[in-house]
Amino acid sequence: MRKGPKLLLLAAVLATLAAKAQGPTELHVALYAANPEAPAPPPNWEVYQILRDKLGINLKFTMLPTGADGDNRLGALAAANDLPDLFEVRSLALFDRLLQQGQLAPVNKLFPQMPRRTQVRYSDPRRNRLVSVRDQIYGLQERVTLSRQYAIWVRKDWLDRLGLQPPSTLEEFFQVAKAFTERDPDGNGRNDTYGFGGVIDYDTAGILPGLGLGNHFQWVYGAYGVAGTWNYDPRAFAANLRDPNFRRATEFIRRLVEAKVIDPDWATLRRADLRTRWQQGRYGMFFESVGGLQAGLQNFYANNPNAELIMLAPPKGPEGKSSMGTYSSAGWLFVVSKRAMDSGKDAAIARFLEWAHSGEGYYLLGWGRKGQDYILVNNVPTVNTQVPISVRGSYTQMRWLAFNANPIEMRGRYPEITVAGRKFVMYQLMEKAQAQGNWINRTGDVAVKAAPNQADIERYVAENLVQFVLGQRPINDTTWRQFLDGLRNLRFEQYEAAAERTLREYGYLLPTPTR
Amino acid sequence: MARKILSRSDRWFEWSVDAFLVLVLVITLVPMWYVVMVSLLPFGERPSLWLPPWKWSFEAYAQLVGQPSIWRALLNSVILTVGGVFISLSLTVLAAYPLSRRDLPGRGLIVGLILFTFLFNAGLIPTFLVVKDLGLLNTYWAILLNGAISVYNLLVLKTFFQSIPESLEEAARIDGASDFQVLWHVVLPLSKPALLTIGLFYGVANWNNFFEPILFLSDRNLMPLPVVLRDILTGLNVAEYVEGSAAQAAPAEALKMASVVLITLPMLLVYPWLQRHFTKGVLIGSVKE
Repeated sequence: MRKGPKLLLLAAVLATLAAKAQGPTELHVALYAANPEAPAPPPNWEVYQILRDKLGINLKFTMLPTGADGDNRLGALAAANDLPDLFEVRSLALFDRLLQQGQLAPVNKLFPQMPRRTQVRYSDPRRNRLVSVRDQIYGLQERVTLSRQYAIWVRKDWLDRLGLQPPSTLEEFFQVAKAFTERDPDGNGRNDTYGFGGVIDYDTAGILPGLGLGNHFQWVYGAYGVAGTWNYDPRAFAANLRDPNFRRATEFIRRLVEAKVIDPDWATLRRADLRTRWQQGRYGMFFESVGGLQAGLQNFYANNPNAELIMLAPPKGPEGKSSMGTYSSAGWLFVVSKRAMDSGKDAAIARFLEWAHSGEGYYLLGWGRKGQDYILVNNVPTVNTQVPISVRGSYTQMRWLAFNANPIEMRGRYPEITVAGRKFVMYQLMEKAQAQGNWINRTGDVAVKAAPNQADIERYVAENLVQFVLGQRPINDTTWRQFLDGLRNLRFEQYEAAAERTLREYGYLLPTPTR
Repeated sequence: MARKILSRSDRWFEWSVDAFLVLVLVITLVPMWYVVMVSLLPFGERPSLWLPPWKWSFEAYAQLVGQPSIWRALLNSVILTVGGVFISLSLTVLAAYPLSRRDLPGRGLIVGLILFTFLFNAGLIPTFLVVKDLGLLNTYWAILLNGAISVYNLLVLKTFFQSIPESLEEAARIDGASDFQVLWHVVLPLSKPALLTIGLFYGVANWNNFFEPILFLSDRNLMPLPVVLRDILTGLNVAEYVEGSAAQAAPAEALKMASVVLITLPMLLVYPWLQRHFTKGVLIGSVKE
């Protein structure tokens, strides 16, 4: 060990001893519930006692309501100058607002006080830049831990029954989907199956949704080389929807809809509904994450005991391109309120975060009660699924402060499981989904500030595309031009220009524009 | 009682009215029926208007009721509803009665000020600041006291009180009754239909309250049923994050509809008991004589 880290460690130990001598520091941490269906940790949670005894911290933990309600609550707390000391932000618009209001503190001085955590999580300058203003870093920007876990899954038993091969191109995909819809692949004599199941979903773990039909159809746009919102082309930067290939991809989805190979309810279904339906065995192909698959396998095989699922590589488009979608390397974002920093809580926050990063804190926050919620098998934490998530989930509500996606953790979270006599090595499936998806890194999107009328822009694009693919509006030169012209009324050009400036400034495009 | 003899055209008219009402009834009941049917949906079945009883599955209910947090949430909802009705009704009566007296000095100004708050809401942040500065955050009082008086209900009750003949009150006063005794012994016994109606309005509003608990409460143990049910359903969507969870025993549609049934049922059970007062109360309160 070099001298610097030794000194830092010594300083940290001395700070802990000094803090203990002064009495515990009150620390209010607010995070979005990691397990929404489970209650908050009980008042006698051992973590509270450990933090008091060992770190001199009197932790008050509150769970933020999920979704926009959580943002509203944080907004109200900010207005009342009552923000928690350390809290999670999931909306970048809210982050920007809090930053402008001066409610957030730079976190630079936390880094030397939590060297191990910083080295693993906050040492990427490009990621830190996403939450920086000049030299000050205003957020603890974690790296993404669970991105790129989505894939298209295919019923191999249906392929075999119909004498088909897994599709590798869009055209093959269409033909297979048609056969799954029309040729009674489950052999029940009823016309009750669909080729593909996907929904309009913009809130999918680790995928950047982009403007358009959400994440479940990005693979179509990927096959035409236009996945995501921006093209990141330094010589001809533009929104992808201006590319003629964007229209071609949209036409392909319309073709799927017109051929009735997609569940006709797809435009109004939610993700949970989609999950129910593939578990019921209605779809020959469907878009799902490895985690979602793991959660649904039990039901799926109870309903379809002879089924076999395989993962499909993203189908290739006419020019041989393929991608399952875009992703960002930026994950959870934790921030510190200015009030907390001003009142000298930085040392307590750093102590707490460093404790949560590894060892005792990591296991307690990430995995819960040893021997009850999990056990260690060959050093790999193994969840006790006999304890329902509504119970064990209480003890892991703060897990996002702890988890860091190291290989052992991933093996624990996505273990080898056996369902209906079949073995699934979930972490290998996760690795496969990440590797073969040709995922496109679009981390720069995170730096692009939302347009003042962002919601209007998103709604306009989504509504028009839905009308196009549902056949409510023809797709031809005139209607497509009308669609693109309509963007002008929303001042889309300004948004596009601002995005280009930001992406160049942050180094995601070449510095010199050529147009 | 002698039966009234109707002409043929009268009978046709009555039948057509009956047929129309039956149609309205069916239109009203079909969505509710659908909700119940889907809540009983087993895996492998598709949602439909008719599910034979031998296929009914109560898994969705079992999964929801099996959540440890739901019973605590139910208790919270009951406390907020019962307490809310008591506080709101008491305060509304105490405000409506004096405002219904013509001899109250400055009555017009007071009603005008109250109406102002009806037309112009302070908004989320000022409300939050008031609740915070009163030290009510994270307590039931934040829900019970915030908006305890609904201006709409206050005006309905004020109008109802005005419809009570003043001679009754005068008779009580001649007997030596104070203002409070007049209210307690004369006005309130005559206002049962209106009180039950307004109480039901408050009860339903408190039972369904979703946003205020989210805004003012941070302790999950204080959250009422709608919030907890929403969180349970949200949990179905986070299978990417939570290993070994979201293994649904019932289809997502069934869980959603079962939560709708669970949240609606208590009010549906209470409603028939209050119905006859309810109709009378609303009608009387709506007409100024």
